[in-house]
Amino acid sequence: MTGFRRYVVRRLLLLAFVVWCILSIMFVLFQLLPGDPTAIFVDDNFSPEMIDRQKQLWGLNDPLWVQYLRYVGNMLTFDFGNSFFQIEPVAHIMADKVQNTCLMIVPALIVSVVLGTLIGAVAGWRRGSAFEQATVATSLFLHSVPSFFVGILALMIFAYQLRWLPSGGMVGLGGPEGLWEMIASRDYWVHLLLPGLVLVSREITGPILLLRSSMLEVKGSDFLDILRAKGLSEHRIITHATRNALLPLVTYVAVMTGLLFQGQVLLEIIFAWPGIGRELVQALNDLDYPVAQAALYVMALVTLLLNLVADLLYGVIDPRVTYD
Amino acid sequence: MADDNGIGTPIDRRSLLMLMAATAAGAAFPGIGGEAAAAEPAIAVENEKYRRFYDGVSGYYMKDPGWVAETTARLTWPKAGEVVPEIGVLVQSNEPSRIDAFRKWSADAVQLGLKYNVQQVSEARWLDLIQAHRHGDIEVHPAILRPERVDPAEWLVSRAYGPDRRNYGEWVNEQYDALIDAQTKESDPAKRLEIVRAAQKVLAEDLYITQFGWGPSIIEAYNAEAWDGVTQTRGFGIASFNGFHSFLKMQPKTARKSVKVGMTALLETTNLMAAGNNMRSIGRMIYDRLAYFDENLNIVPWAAESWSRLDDRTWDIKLRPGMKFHDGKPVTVKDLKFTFDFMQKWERGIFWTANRFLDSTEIVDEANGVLRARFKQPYGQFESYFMQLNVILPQHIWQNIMQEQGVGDNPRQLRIDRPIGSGPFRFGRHRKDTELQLIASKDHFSKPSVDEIWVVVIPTLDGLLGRLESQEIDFIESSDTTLRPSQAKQAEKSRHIKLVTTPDVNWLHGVCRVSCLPWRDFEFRRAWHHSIDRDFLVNVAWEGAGRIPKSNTFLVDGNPWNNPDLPPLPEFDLKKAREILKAAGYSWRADGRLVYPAPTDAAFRERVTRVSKPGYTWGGLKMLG
Repeated sequence: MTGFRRYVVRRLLLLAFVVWCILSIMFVLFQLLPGDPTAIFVDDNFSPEMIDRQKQLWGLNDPLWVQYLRYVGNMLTFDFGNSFFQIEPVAHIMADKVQNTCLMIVPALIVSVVLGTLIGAVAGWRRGSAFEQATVATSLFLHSVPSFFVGILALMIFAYQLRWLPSGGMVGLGGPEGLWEMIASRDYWVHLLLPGLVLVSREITGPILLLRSSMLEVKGSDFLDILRAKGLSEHRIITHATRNALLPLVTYVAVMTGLLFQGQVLLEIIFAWPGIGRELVQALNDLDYPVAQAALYVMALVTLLLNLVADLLYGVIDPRVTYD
Repeated sequence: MADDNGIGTPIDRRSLLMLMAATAAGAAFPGIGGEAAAAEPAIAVENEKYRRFYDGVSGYYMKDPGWVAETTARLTWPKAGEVVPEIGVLVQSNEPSRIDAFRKWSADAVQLGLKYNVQQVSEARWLDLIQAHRHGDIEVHPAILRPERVDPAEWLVSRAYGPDRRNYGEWVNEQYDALIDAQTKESDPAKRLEIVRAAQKVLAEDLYITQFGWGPSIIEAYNAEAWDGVTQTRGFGIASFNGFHSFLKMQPKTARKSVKVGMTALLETTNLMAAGNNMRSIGRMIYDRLAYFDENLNIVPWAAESWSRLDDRTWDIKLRPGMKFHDGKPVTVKDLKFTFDFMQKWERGIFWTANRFLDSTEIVDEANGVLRARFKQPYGQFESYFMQLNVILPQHIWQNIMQEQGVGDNPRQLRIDRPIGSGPFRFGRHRKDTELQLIASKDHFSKPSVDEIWVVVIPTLDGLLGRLESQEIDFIESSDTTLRPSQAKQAEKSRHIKLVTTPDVNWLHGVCRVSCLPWRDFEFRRAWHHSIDRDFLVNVAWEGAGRIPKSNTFLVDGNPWNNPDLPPLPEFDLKKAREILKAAGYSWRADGRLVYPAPTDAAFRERVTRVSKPGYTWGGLKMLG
């Protein structure tokens, strides 16, 4: 087995262990969560016998270890059961909500990474310039301001006062329904503008600051002198330097995507965006355990997988990394 | 049902957690309670007929070591010089007005030598603890009107009836319970009113509950530039889907006949059998009920054109002619008969309470749409409960649905993607958690003048107000969301917004744990009532949006079932409270804390044993020893 394969196997085993730990911790946490779920989904007037019947239906009367084994097996096969209240498979609910969250964060992520890379590279290359100073100051400011605050502010100005942009939702009333129909519509992009810009305003700061620092390191490299000696234009030299400075960004983007995926609860609430974060909060409030468990699990899994991808990609794109 | 002795059968999760909490496992999970395992409980009841309530549910009350430990301590006669223990109060952390009020009342109570322990907990934790009767001394509860609560029994039974588990203070007044039993069986509305009023009198005289405030008021804002002719329904307001008169009668001022309504959440399910609050309220617009209520909460015919009482357990219900389901099929008395048969055959979800006394139904005049409903016992809730809650399901859709969907005997699991009823609005486009279109049914007997309602989800009240100001919505649905005066004032700055305040029958009350010391002592209760500054709650915490209660009743002034001749509430008077306590044998320690009367004080022992006011009979928990 080559060093890389051994590394991949080791990482996969580690991933499986971490997933098991997360599942177990979640199980214990949900057991300790205040509130008896049956108290929520049965009618106040139900007799003890009827309540007990509901518990049996949901398997809540089984011994704890039986519940645990059934739970781990189901989670690993993505069988999340049925929602207590929504009377539909949680997997359907999750698929819908994950898609909605992706519709908000993926465009914002692409814009943040592309634009952030360009701005960061130029800022790093032009160290000491007014552009660099302004970029760093603005980035630090935007990075420090909570995105929900920017969100509320943006909403008040652009939606409530100026009325330039819609204040929430993924599309307007009666707008397109299917995924591709929605993406192809102007309505979706107009609705995405405000939450998307708020997201970009924060997420762009990471690539900018990272690329700037990375660029500063690359800038002093010998290979740039060789390129200059070959008579390459400034533009071509910056392009070469940027490609070398991009390596740390790969890991960062993977981690950032995971965090972005799970961290948009407040924005989803502010902009009435029916994503997975809002669903999680609602499920916790309602004590809808199957939905809450699935939402947490999906969020954790996405983060872990993206970390794995970053680790593996790093070795692939940087020939200096070895596994022996 | 689970084996109550816990031997030979798997223990349920709740019991296991409590067992862990009561044994060594508590050290491993300190967050789930630290009560010591109680010794064999010796808790008993005065009247054995109530015993089942305390020992009949696995994991609760006498089968909950925590409840037993807490209750045992409060049923043990105090020793000489023993101080009155801290008064535990549980308040939901998302209710700042209640927290503010208890801060004030706690500070006032210091003058009586009382010490409060006010804990803020999440909604889920609060619900869990009150249902286990582990909430401490005072259970604080709000009431918001729902259609089923137009019937007086909803509150009279659930909050004060001895055998009901929602009687959180464990008050067992046998005279009150007898009146409650009688009103359930009294089918003559006038006679039932008398009984209900008598029950309110017992409740008020025995000082079990205390009304902190009547309200908060229903303050709503709407786009008055676009809509006219809104209707105020007492207790519901202008934009509640529970009391939807406005949506039938409102007139557009512009060419737009589509009304946009904001809500904080939409339908959790579209299956009426498994409905929570929102599907119940929106469902009322889709599925006609047999009876409805007018703007003053008087019962009026709806899908049933009329009904006649044959005897105290039999009624004939005449269906309104010419009704159609939303798929164009006619509504017939066969559909009504099918609906009752369905509800009786399968587990009946929210309709269980409405139909639990129903014995049988038969079609007596098919041509004229007359159905005879017979009840198992004389029945008092026919108009205000049975007729209010029951719907008409289309037989052609529902007759084989259980088998087709393979949901066993549990209709709560049915998938009803497009509900079809006969109501004034039909189910249109629905995007989960986002929007719902309700299209006006123009051939309905009470046809709406609007063309459609778009219900939009905006998860926060601030968001709703912002959208109202920017005219993205016209109304805020008010079943669960009303404005504080300061919010209303802010909204009113927009020219197009008009404010409306509707008379309400809401309340916020406290229930003391009357089964335990110190509340068992009627004189203590009397003194404590004088320590509540209700004016603070209404005029400061609620910003004036409420009423100072006149009496201790659930059926407040404005409710058609209110008893206007109840004894007035004890006024806020700390000096008088101290005098009552002193006269009752209480004293004060050097540090100011209130001390129980001496163990030899015969009057104190007699009051604590009797619990209720002289003249009434206590049937609940007994003191130990």
